[in-house]
Amino acid sequence: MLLALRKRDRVCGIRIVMPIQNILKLAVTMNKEFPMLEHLDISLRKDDSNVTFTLPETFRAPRLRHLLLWNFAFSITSPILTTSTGLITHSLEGISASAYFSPSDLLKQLSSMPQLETLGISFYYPIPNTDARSQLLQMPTMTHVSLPNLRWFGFGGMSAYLEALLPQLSTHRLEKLQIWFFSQPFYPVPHLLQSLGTAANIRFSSASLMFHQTSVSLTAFPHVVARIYAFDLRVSCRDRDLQVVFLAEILNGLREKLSSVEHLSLEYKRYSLPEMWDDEVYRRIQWRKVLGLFNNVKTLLVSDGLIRDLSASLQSDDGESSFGLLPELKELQYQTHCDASDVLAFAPFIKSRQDSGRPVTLVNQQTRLALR
Amino acid sequence: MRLIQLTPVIEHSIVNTYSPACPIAYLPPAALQLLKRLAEVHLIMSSNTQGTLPCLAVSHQIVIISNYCMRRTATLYCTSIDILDNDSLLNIFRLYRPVILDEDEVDDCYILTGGEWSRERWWYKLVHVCRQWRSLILASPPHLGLCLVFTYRTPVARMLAHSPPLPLIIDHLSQEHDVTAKDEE
Repeated sequence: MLLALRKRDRVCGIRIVMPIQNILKLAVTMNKEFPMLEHLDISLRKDDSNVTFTLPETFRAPRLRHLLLWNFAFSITSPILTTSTGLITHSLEGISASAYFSPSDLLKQLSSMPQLETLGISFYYPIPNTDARSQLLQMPTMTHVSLPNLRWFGFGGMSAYLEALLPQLSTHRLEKLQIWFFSQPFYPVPHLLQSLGTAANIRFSSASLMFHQTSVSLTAFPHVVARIYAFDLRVSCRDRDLQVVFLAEILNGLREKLSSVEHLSLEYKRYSLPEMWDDEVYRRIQWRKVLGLFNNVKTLLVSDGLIRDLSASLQSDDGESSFGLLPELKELQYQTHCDASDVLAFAPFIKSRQDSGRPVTLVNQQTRLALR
Repeated sequence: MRLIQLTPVIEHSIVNTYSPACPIAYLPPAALQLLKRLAEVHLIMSSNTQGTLPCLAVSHQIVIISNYCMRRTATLYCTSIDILDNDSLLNIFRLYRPVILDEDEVDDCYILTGGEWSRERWWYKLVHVCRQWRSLILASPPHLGLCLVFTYRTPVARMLAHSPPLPLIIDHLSQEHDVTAKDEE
């Protein structure tokens, strides 16, 4: 590998995943200009992310188009960035604490990359959101940056950072947005919601809400058969109460986008049994807030861990079905391994909808046995 | 449609399947399946999703089969690939270049990192078909986008010593594999 790297005037692509000691060996040879290099992708293992590694200051790649660095300390003011103005892909993932840079510094760099099509920024170590907010409030006026070709933007970190960044970014052609928030108390994200609302190329046709052991996520797809998302939001959070609250708040801001969702999937991917909530009324309210935003959903898939929550939320407090929820729903699907008793919990809702002339078919996802 | 009957003396043959419009030869899909069973198929050329083969539509295939199999499938109508001039061959080779990143890929990380770089080795087998193809391909690196791919299993020194000065791709994705002297030999 070292022999190949030494042919630096011929190297056009480098993609390396290896332990830090090996990368250090290779880096020694990367201390000059690589005139042909278009793609550079270096990934340290997460175990090694506490080791400080930077590219040599004398490393240059004037033809660089794709730069992807994972899990190491990379300075945003590195000469490789200031000399690579033709970047199409710029992804810094798992940025270590020692390499933290402010939104202002990031914007300065982005202003010299008008050709960017893909931008990914994620921090490895969370900065407390309160600290980030106070720091960001003290920021001097930031440069406004237009990225006319940006189609894919991914961010991982604190919401305050993203909220400081987004108002200064114009990304009219954005098609895919991926956000991962660290565990944090809920803070409003008006700029994120506004950016999504005005992104004409980001459309929702189907959506999936997933409740994981340590996070909750919303994934929305541009059309029913799409296999890659238009919007993917994951929030690290162990508390299931907070998971639903956070989702409800975010979704509420996306009301307009969600109105076009016809297929909704509620999935439960926790390893432990769902814990009991103390306040069932509060739980129902939160779930109704979520369901109430999907007023055009025709198909709803519910995984087994959520059936009790959902069936309870579809009941009104006096035992009747909650009439206004999911008005267009035609089919309610459940997974094959659900308990029959759980599935029966939907019976009042199904009956209520049938009585009102808006029948809903209850379908086993695999066998599709209708229990109307 | 003009069909040229196979002669038993040819070295390599080219069969264009599915395409009634192609002047070389035509095989229906069922016949192609039969051919695949009988033939030692050296190469299947599929148009990529960003381009089409000359005179053909997307999803057409060109199959190059050996003289041996042609004898066994002598009733098939084919013609010698030798009738193609160098420009046509080069065009076919160029269109044979694989897509490095599939359009239907759903893994965003895989997309981000640029797809399957090992596919850049697409031309390695072609240069072993015959001397003419070898010299033709190696004379056109920029046109065909040729490059050498090095992974942790590649004998780097030997390959560098015996290959033309093509662009290099280093694709070392093994987290555990150490860079040892063995990699360099």
